[in-house]
Amino acid sequence: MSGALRVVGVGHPGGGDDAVGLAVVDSLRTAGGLPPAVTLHAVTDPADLPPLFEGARAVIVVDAVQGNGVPGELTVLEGFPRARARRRTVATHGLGLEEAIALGRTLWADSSSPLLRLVGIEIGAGAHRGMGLSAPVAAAVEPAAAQVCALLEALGGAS
Amino acid sequence: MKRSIEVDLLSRVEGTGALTIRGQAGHVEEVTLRIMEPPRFFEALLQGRGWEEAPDITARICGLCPVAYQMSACHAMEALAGVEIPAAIAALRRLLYCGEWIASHCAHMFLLHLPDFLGYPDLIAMAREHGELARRGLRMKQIGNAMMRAIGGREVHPVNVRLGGFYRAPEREAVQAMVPDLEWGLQAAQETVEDFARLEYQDMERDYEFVSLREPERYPILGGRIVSSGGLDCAVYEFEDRFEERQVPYSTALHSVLRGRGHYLCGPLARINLNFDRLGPAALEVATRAGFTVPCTNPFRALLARAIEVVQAFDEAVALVRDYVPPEPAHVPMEPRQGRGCGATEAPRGLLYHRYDVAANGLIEEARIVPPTSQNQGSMEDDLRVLAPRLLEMDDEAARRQAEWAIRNHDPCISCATHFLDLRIERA
Repeated sequence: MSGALRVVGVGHPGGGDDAVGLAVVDSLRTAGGLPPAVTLHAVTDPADLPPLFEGARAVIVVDAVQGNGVPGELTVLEGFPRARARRRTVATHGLGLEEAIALGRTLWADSSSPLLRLVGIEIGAGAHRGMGLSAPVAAAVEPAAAQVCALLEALGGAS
Repeated sequence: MKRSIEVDLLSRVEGTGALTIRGQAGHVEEVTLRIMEPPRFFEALLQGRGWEEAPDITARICGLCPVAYQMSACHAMEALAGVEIPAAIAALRRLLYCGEWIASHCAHMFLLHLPDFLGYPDLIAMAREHGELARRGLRMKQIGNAMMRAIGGREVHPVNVRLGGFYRAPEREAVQAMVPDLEWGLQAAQETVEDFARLEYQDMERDYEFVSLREPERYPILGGRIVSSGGLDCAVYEFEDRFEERQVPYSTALHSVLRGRGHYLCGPLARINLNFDRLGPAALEVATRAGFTVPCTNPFRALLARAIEVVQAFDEAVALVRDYVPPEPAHVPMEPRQGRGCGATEAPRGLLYHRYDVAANGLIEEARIVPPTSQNQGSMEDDLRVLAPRLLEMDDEAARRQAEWAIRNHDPCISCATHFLDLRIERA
């Protein structure tokens, strides 16, 4: 199978736990060893996300989520099933993540729509908004990176 | 038959607002645009903080126009300190501000407002049929974001702005690397004006008093005097003598009025009406080709005014980038001084006024911030009053769509407008 495998961390670098998606991408970049087909991206404005669907075989989005879970809990979703929409991702401003993904699929995806996986990291209802990540969310960075690697392997993109 | 049209949650505007129109054919009883965003208390938050913190704290008021807040705060403090900003720093500020105008205007035009004109319920539906337009709009917005990143350090809430200038001036090569994208953006913006000129605009004329800054030679972004179509011409420090903010019971945002005159309008339509002669050659040429003339008092044509301003911003950015030489030093040293400083710049949505009272030790004693959306709230309601007889004849869904469209003409940023509340506690 050809086409890029894109891993996209979404978050605000000054947004406390909201930055966890960026931290996961940083961790993957630091660890290295990803095959050339895999590219890593950090996105703060979701409007920068849609063009990343161009020429992609699969897109893995990593973002903070606020649901009823314990901070640090991981959730993997295949797309945005309506039943799970309430477990909303925490968008920074303007275009929401779900809308940005829909736009990417509408405007940039080839006829064979790329696979989409969402890795959500629970940040809790009273999420930390100061500098850096809270301890339970920071502890989830490496497990989330491992989860991304497992997804890449399942998608046939890991070495 | 008496009717009440309730729009409980306005869509495709930034923040949380609602609208009530009550009346019957030929008689409108009530029009209220309610802003329900929780109050944010930024002015109180600034009290006791260092004067140098104002740009970073106020930038957090808005994720769409943080540079406007940073620049108005810097201007206020620099006016207080009596500091003159060197031309090279002012040019870099203008370039950063152009990036914000491009990003903010393109987000509003393509993602939020255009579906109204093309008859789609939302952006995704529009994108399915008008992919080229949507892709173009997103790419233009991305270029604005990239400018903010290159100069401000990041696209949302930039961190490189400080009183007196910048923490660090970007390298000449990094800035000039933007030229190809900016040239593409200029061409795309010109095509956009031509495309938008072909849209169908509803008939509606209003007797607005337009208010904006006016710079001596250029299109207003970073300074100048406050002028109006009614003959107002005053310095920024006179703002509070000429304008008044009033609380209304149904909104967490204040309503602004021109003292003795009433509601007024700021933003792209006001700026272009008051500064058409300050447009650069590229914007002027495309405006003429598009048949856009002033005075233009149709609020629906604000889309076109905004698109012409995007041409202006790209055109200025190309020139600023080509001439860019990193300012050395990147900022002017400043010492705190006791007193009052006022500053105003043109945020994408209109005039943004800041005033700070600062103690001799540099701590802020009092702050006042007047964002464009609260200034425009009265005029937005007036627009709806004019439209209300038409709305009352429509079915509820059509009336809701039409009312939201009219509000979106002014690109309200409701989060910006709600940072003040007159809190009264009554105890038995």
